[in-house]
Amino acid sequence: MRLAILDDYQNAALRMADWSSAQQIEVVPFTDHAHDPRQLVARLRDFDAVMRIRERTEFPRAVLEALPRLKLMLATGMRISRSVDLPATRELGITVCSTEVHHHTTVELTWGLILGLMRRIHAEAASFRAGGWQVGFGRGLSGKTLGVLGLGSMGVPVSQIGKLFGMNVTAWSPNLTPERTAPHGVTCVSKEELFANSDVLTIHIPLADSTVGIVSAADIARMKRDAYLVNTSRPALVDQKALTAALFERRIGGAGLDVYDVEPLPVDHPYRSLPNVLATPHIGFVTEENHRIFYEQSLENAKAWLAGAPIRVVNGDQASELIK
Amino acid sequence: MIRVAVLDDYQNVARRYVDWSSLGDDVTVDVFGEPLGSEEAAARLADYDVLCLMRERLPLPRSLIEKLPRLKLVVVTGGRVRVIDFDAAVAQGITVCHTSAGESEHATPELAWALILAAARHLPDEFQRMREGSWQQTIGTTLGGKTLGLIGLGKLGSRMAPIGRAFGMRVVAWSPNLTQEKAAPHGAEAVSKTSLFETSDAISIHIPGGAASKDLVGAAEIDAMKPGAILVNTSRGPIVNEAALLAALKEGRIRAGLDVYDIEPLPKDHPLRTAPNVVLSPHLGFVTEGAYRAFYQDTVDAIQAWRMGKPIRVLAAPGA
Repeated sequence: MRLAILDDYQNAALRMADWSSAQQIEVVPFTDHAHDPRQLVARLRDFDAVMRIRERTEFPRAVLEALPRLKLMLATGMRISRSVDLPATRELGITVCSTEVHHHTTVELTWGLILGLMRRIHAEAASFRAGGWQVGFGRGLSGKTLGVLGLGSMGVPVSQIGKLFGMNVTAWSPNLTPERTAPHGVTCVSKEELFANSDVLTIHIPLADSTVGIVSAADIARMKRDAYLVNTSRPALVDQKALTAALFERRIGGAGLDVYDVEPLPVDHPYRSLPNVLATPHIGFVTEENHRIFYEQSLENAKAWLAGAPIRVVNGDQASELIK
Repeated sequence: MIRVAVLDDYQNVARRYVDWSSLGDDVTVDVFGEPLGSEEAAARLADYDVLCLMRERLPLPRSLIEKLPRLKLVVVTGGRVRVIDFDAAVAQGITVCHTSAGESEHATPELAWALILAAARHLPDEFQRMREGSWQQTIGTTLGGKTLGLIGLGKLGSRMAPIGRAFGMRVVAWSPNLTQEKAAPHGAEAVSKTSLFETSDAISIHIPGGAASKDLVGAAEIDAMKPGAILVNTSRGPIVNEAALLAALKEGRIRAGLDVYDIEPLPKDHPLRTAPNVVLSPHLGFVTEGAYRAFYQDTVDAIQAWRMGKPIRVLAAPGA
């Protein structure tokens, strides 16, 4: 069985699992990203199986139909099915397996970005490496207002840490009520209040048709001039044009961003050079522990499939616990 | 005429954050932006009645105090101060006052978490590489499910513990007099010093500086740490043996986040400035805009109160 591993940016695929324990699998990692579907099809034409990391590569029906040899997809940490056409995989006889993932790594990165923005760690660290000493002032968190857009499995832990830092924590989402925020010690506010009053606003709402562009130009225009917007969730939740314009014109304090419309982010994209952007390369889930889970469970998934008894299947008759 | 010197205003904000003219026409205020060495301090500060110190940036030992014949009042920002010889000050008729801590007490735990998270996820490196056009060169470490080791569970350390638990970490703590009874209310487990170094994935130091804690973290402690574990110091530089730390960083045995150094500002050619596996910040623990505004306002209030003959927040005074 020929297995292609896509988007292995860190060149880690071969060391992350003991592939030698499955002699019948020939593993071929690709460290660069195929942006163009035709390039992707050309790359995968001679493979029986493909492993993909999270949602780095999308598999629409057209791509799947162009890969007649493909029989197994090893998905990893799959949470929503928007990026793979699951009905098409069923019709085409492609088994899709997935793995677990620790989501709290995104909560950790969110706080890394919030603290980095508020205390200007990146600017101070860069100046320090270049021989400097204390070039500016950070802002303390205590007493400031944290706005959490979406108080779900990510938003709740993010809000609790904000409270422990002494922040006044508010939340909004389309169906959020004071009854649901109260047990977390979080104030339920209107969308207008959330944007107008937050010193830090962080987005933790799932992407769905109803939430595309939920952060609009009008919302961004309401933000305080020194407020920070943090997005470790999905790029399409935010009107990216409006955000870029606000950052260019310094209408908000800045942004902490981990997710982008096009990934890897183009080399000439303004988010790479704007002074008020703290940008990380979509590393919300990228930790040693998650990669171990992805690779070790994918190897198990591949072996089980080869043995005719596939496990962790997410496109079968029984809905897997792995996919919500 | 009363002459006031405001020292170590690195960011040049002392005049912006408070209205010094409120002290009256008979008070002149000079602000020093660059740090003064002790000899330079003796020469340049001899003609001042009042010194306003930023935390512990300029020590006032007896030898320096004796060279400042005109000095009557010292106002030091923040609470606890270990670098002033109070006996010498009092003997020379000098009053020493301090300011409130303001948000600075929150600010240091915030910075400690910023450094832990930055070290765990290689944030300054990944951010810099984004600037340079690359994409995902590192793989970070998860904190959830790991062990946070706190050296010191006092005012600052006890703020760290619940946040560690909220990140899903087990929290252990050690200090010379820590007991299980004192640790438990903070959600931390008291352990031996050896066990703390051997079992923690991230260690953060929150005990006071001074002779008792010098080299508390030496080669033996660093050697006992797990490979790749993170050591964060936002307390005082000398608590960690610099040579041992530097060696471990260069060999890639551990990672670190440092905010404090043996010599501050750290010399430009110091090997730590170019060391790998470390996130460096320039003693920012208490440095926030809010803390400074409160520091300078309290400083002006303290000078005012002293002039009225009713000094406030007094640490030491003649005849007291």
